[in-house]
Amino acid sequence: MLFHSPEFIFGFLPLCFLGFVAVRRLWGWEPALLWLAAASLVFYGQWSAGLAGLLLGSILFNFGAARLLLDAIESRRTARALLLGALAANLGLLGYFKYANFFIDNVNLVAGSSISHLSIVLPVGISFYTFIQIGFLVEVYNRQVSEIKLGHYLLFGSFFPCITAGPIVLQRDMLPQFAAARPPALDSARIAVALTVFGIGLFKKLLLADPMATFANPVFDGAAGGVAVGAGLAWIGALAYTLQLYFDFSGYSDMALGIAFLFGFRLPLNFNSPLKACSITDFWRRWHITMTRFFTNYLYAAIAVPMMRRAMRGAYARPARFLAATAVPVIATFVLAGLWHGAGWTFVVFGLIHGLALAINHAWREAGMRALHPALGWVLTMAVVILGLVFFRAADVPTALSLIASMLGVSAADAMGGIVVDPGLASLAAGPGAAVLWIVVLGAIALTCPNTQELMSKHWFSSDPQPDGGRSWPAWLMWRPTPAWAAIGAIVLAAALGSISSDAAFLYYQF
Amino acid sequence: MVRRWALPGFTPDAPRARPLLYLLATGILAALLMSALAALNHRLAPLTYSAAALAWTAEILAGGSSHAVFDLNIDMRCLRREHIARLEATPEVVVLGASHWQEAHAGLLPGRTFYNAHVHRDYYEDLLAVVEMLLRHDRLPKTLIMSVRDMTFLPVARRTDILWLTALPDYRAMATRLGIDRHSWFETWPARRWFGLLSLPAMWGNALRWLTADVLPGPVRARTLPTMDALHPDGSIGWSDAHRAEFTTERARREVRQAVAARRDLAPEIDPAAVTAVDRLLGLLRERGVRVVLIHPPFNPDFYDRIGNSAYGAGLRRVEAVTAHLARAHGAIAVGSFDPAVAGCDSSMFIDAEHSGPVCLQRVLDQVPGL
Repeated sequence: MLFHSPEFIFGFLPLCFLGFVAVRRLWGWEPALLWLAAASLVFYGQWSAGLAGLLLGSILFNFGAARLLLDAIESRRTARALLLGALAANLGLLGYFKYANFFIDNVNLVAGSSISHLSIVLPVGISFYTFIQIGFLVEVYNRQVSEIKLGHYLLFGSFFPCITAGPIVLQRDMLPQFAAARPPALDSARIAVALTVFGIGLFKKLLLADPMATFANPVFDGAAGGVAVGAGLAWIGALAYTLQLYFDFSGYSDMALGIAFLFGFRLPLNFNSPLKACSITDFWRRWHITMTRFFTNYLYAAIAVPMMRRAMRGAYARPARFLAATAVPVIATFVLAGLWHGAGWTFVVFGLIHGLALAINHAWREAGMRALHPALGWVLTMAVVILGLVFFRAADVPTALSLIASMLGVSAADAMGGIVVDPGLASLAAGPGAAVLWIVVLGAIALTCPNTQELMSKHWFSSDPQPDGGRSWPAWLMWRPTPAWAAIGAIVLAAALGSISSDAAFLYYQF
Repeated sequence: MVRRWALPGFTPDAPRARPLLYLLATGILAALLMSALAALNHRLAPLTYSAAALAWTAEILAGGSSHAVFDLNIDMRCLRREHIARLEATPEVVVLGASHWQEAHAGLLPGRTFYNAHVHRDYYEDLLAVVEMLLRHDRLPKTLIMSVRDMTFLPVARRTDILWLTALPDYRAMATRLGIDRHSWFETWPARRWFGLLSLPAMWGNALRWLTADVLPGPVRARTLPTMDALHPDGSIGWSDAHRAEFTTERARREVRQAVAARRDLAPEIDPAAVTAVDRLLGLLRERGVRVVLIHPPFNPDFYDRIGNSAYGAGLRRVEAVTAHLARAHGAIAVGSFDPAVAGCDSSMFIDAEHSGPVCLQRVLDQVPGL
């Protein structure tokens, strides 16, 4: 069930919310949380009852592991062994479902064998819910959790707004809210804010992101099929996909935060206008924020801290210390982050590009060189982002390389065999005006308009604190429950609901 | 002080009422906009949503004229219901099937009266429903050709399309007649169909078509039109010249590639309840003295050759086995195969992976003894 499906909007969400309110009124807070956990499993079970069983099994396993960890927390050696065992089980599960066939492909490639693919269905959101639970285990091990209730953990591990595509929540984001927040079940102000945020997300997904697929898909699919793609079309495809992914994931994240807030829970922000970033470091502080937080806390730190210690002990020279303590960890982290997105070499290259760019960015600062002019920084950042996303979207590395060659005007496409006439691409080539107009308009929206949290800044809905020192927007642009905003809200909602016929799933569901 | 445009309650001194009124105002305004959209869609796509418009179309077809349509995305089941009710005589041969049969016209069976009762994307419920329509109006033919496709017996839970839902009243009537379990309301809730009324892109596309069309939907004498598809009195369809121009060899190859990729690993599932329902239907038709021909529409050879050893290919052979079993049990005639070589159809006769033109359909019908 997708957040933008009629079944969800007119069926599941209202029923789930009314049930939550009723259970809260009749039996209290804890049963209401259980109701929400059960509803989350039903939501997930819409994809497959078996996969919901897998999710439930994963939650129960990790709950058991966390309890054992808590009991053994004073014996660090035992706790460490327990943690490593539980992490191995979680990563093993993720590895089997997500990477087994990728592994087989590579074995076949290297060994010239012909091992058949395993018949595996990738569970929706497995990368997200596995990481949510890994984060929990690590925080238990780090003594950041002193007690766990099964009901709370069940909801934490299955909470439907965030298990399919994030945000990747940590226990400190959610468990204190389950334990203590207890907001009123029916609060018209909160519901108004929550539904407005949800509506904005719905609008972004259906009216901004999905139309871009009609320009991006023919280019990437055509290139994958061996079609000669010229420079103009290649740029249209790359820019269209950049904007498609941005509005798709940003829209999804708004919807997730809005849904959670409807029930009175605040989730961490996942997006903060990343396309306005003037450096690659700034970009990753703004794009998929909770994933960056997870990888920084649990992977980068795990690699960088021991290497830093080794560098200090070995009294390395400054460049070697930078390489060991910063560059290698950041590149390794981002290669793994790329691979986390998908089982394919294109994702590895995506991660490598970002890791290298971040390492260069850190080296620049380490060397004490003057910061670039923001405009130049923005151009360089976007170049890296777009280059990375060509790999992210392309069917394979040769396709990505051929598109990049086309974008640089050194296309090898004409020399490729098997060129076929592709009607989608042909119509795009014959009339690129609409694509260019869409790209310009959506680019302008992404670069000049306030984002959702800025629009709603007078009515904060996230567990993150409001950022200080951001751009100040005119008061009339800030959302308030006024007739004018009601009219705008109604138009946005009607336009979004009127575009629901699209069956396009969120792009991040595939990860 | 209350500003002039403020609604009651939208005042600075009523902070608690304000969000509630905001929610109400937003909801009511959005509902009004959606209602207007639904009304527009209903108006602009009458052959999808309006039984009265489909009855008018059926009246034209029953009068012997063809009917121009923008495209074939119409409620074909409701059209069949209205058209069969208006047939002046019982045809000698009727075809029940899916879009594979859409181009089968009366000229393929010279000397016989023929009605093509195909509906798009059919399932076994459609077989029951259309037989119910024929039976209700005393139009059961001497020879009934029932086409069994790959998805005929697909369980309801596996279906992603909703066109078949409009045949539910007739299906339920036949199910009652046959004494079999009917689908529950929960399984067949037509919300998605009615949600189509709220589609902004559909409204926009239909509005553009009405505004720019050189010919409007309605009765026509010609069997083929430059830009509009046509519904014919014998139940068949005629592609527009514009559509025909799109059916190139290259397009067919691309469609085949996509179909192979999409279906190769998906074996058509067979719901035992569906087989039972068709079994009972064949029993009823035998009692009524109808000569039933069970037939499989052949696939494009380019497609069939490439899925032969796949899970999908194995599933097709299971469907053929079920058909052969049903035919044996009821003395029905089973002819044809999903394999195009059996009828002698080649890839030039197909517009995509599975839709053939009249030349191939003629060869399929030639296999039926005594037709």
